[in-house]
Amino acid sequence: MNYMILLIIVGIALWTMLLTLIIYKLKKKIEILGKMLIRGVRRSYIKALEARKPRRKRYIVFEVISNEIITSSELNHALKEEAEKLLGILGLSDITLKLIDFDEKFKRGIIRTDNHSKYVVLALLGLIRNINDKKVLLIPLKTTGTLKKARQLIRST
Amino acid sequence: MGNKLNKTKTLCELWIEPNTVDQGINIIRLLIRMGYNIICIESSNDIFLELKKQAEKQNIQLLKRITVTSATDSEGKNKLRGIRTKYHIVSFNPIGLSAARLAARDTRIDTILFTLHSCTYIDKTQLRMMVKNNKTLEIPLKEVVNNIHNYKFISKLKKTLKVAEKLDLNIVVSSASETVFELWHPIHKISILRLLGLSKAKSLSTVINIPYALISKVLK
Repeated sequence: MNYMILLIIVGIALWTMLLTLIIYKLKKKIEILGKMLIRGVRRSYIKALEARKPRRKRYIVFEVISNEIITSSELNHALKEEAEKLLGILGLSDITLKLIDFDEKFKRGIIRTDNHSKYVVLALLGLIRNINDKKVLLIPLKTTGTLKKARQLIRST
Repeated sequence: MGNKLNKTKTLCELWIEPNTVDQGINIIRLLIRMGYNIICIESSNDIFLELKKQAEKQNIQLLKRITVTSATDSEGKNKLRGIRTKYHIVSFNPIGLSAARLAARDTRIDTILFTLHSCTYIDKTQLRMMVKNNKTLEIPLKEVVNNIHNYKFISKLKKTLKVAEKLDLNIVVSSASETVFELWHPIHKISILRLLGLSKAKSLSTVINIPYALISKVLK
């Protein structure tokens, strides 16, 4: 009887040691898997939250840096052309993009977009480097929710 | 620039390469307007010293960097000899598999460039090695702009970024600009990274935290 109890205790001890060894060996992999799972869940949750958000208007105030004069129509054409090249017709139909105002004196303008496509439009501004063979750089100054505030920003130094 | 980004954070531009002093001064002036505090410059010694004088007046830290391009590991080793003492940041552009593997292992290299020629060699194994050896993947945005309509390059870049994010690899973006018109605003950088598929948190840390951590590590 005593011999049987001893055998069981030794067996349990051996199993515990084996399990500890396996957990120790797989600890890093388990950690990575857990992190990936958490990250995946978090990302899908954030995506779902973002998709649920209602579309709201956003006005991006930007400044044109160029040695030459850029007109409003040239800028509008360049914006549409670059967006079509980058996103295609279908992609362009999904985003809101409109040049509202462009002050040729201050070289500042306003683009209307929405909260869902804000990042696409900002990336688009970064990708435009040439307008009719004139070198340009479009710098975003501020994103606002109202046109009134955006217009104030155009004239402020 | 009236955004919160440049008021609170230390922003670093990791690569500019002006050909003349005037060009350099113009670039630095615009970078200051954009909110950058630390600028890494790749140019001759004379231009660097002249620009450093200008930068000191405006409280901007100017660092020297170099880009080494190599096709084989032996060529890479030869080019890297004695480089660490002369430059603050060493970038490597591997155009061969052995060179890419060397770049992932060598402690003298800080960043590995993702270009049109090197993208073939930056695979999953390479990224894993980079994570293991604490290396940073650098994406020169000039290359992205030049090849924005090359769907194969963009697809490779998107896949690499996805894997890099999964492996928690450090990524940085640099403009590699020679003139004022090739510069990138931090908001541009964040939005293009988000467009390429990175998450919001990762793209923010790519532009703000990781370059600063890299420079702090180098200056220790």
